[in-house]
Amino acid sequence: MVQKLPPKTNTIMNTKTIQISDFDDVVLFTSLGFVLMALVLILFFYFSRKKIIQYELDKRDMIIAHQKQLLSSIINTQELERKRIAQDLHDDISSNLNIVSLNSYFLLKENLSETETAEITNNIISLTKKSLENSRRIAHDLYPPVLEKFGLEAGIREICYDFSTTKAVSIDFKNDLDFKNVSQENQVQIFRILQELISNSMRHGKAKNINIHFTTSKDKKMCCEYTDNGIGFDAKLAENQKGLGMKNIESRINFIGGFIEFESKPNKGLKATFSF
Amino acid sequence: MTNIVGRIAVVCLVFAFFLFLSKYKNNNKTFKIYTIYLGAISLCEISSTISKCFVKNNLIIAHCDTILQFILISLFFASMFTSEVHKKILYFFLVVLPLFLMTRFAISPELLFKYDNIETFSTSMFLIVYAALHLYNILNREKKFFYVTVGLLIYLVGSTTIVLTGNLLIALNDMKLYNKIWLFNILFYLAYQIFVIFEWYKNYRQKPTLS
Repeated sequence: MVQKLPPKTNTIMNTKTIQISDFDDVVLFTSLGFVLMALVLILFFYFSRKKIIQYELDKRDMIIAHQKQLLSSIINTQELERKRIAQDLHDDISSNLNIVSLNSYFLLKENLSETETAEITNNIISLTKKSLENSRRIAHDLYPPVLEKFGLEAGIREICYDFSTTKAVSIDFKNDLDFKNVSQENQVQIFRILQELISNSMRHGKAKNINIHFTTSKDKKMCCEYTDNGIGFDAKLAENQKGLGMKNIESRINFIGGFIEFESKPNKGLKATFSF
Repeated sequence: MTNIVGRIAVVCLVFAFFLFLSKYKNNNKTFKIYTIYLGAISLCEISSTISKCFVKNNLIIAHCDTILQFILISLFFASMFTSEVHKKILYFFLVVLPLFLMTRFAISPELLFKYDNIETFSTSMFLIVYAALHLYNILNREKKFFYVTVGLLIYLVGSTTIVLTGNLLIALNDMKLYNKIWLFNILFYLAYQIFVIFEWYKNYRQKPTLS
């Protein structure tokens, strides 16, 4: 005798509702039912596990590809920087020193009048001074001394002042943080990130006003809110995230263990918030 | 005990239906199908409760309940499946299985007043497969109706296991144990309703979803 349980809660069960069949049929039906159900569940777990592993592998591949991209952008930036330094050295120092050397040879000539000697000497002094000034500027560009001597806040105030003196942009800087707990290495990275952001705002964004505000985020982390009134860009477009400047910023953010978020739309300016 | 738990489960089902109904307008097709399913099953359960007082055999309602559940839950999963092949297979069985069951009822009308093992088992098995397939599909995607699906899968697997075991127990004439495990079937049903209410609370309490 086979009786079937009601599927829900209030169905009347009595002997008249019971379906009768052979014991063998019941055993066969039950076994088949259990086997089918077990099969469905086993297949589900097997394929789910496979899918999860594949997903994890894809995720890792993406991370590796991203890291490779970052590495190549670091190498590219390094090469560009070397090229710029070489160019600066060649244009501002080597050429001056060539003329100094030439003038020095002139001094060895006999029959030089006093006026000529004085002129050549003055020329040498002026060129040497110029070369010294240029070498100081190159060194300053490579690593601003104010950053090492007076810290990040003074460094940022200096670049704000330097950019503002060009009259092309006005930068408003506000700081609610104490950078004493930020390591020297991280301070340099934050400084470089701001340098890159400002130069991007001026070069690509044609911004006239820039605001930099260092504050504490909702999750109690140190963060910097950077806004400009430039032409903005579509932050969702992948091509806008592939530029060398952006990659440079991203790798520096990775280095300081922070997080950066860009909010921008065409003609709506840029808002970049990064934590560290 | 069984009656009390059964009543609580029906109250939870009706409550879940009204919760889903309150957000019916602002939501997508899947949500609407599921709300209709809750409404239809609530009606079946209420009529089953009322009919218990007047008739000796209310199994026709249980048959309607089972077939309606199969059709509406199939449509619910069909609206979430993205693979065309899965959809086609689902639609095929959506037509074939109810037709097959109805043909059986037409050939032997006495089956309408008896429990039909094949009907309950086949509809449950197909729904278990759809629920498992949906959970597989959403592994690395947005977790659409995750709690409802998990609740349904737990209920269907639990209920089908109990049904199969119950058949064996009756064949072995162990009615005592059979009555005991019947309570678990209702408990699984109650657990399913709790999952449904939790789904509403988690995902639809405030924000409407538009898609």
